[in-house]
Amino acid sequence: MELKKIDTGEEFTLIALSGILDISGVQEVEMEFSEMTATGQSMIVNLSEVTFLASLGMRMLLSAAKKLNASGKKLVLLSPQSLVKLALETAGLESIIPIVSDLNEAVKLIEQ
Amino acid sequence: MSFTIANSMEALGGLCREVHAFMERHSLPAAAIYAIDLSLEEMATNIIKYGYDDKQKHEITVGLAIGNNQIALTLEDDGHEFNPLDAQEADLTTGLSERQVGGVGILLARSMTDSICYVRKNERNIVKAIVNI
Repeated sequence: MELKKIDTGEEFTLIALSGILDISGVQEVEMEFSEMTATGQSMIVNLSEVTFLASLGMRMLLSAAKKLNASGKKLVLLSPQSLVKLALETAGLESIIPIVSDLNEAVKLIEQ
Repeated sequence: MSFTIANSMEALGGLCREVHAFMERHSLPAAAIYAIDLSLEEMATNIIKYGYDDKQKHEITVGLAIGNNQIALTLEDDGHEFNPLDAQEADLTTGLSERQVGGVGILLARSMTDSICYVRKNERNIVKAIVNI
């Protein structure tokens, strides 16, 4: 499981996660992921290379979204693979964390 | 195939990877692999978290059978009477700040598999999930 910092601009941080976000995967990235949400900036997470996500991974994302939301910031998920997107929707996350398929759309949501 | 692991998240993490690799080697459909991977993670996590009254080491037996156009995942443990399908019921209608973290594991497993059932037999809990292929 890998976490890559793509861009840390003034408005937001863009990171990409890749690999299997299962029990082992979450353990590998959660500390670094948590540190990234502590920067006080909105965050866009590119999920296009994440092949698996279950409730533990969703916990990690939801906790981040709540933390950012508490300081008036946003978490936006970008381009999840279809099975990952299905899991996110089934878990009812797409109604509280925006999921988009285009970076420009994500940036627009953050700038709103 | 059959595995036995200790009731720890670390052991489960390793097993999840092994089971995933096994299914990939059998060229099973991606959606079916996902469903089994997820069910194993969710149900075994519930057993580990809620199934035992003591701090002792217990064993969980995991079986995986491929055949008859289906993948069958079976989990067996010797904890107290506990149906890992029971736990949790997150409210999915709340907003972000009120939304409960956790409680969606079994909902996900039920939704992605074709059947999941529980039975208590000979002092053991047995859960079986089936995904058609």
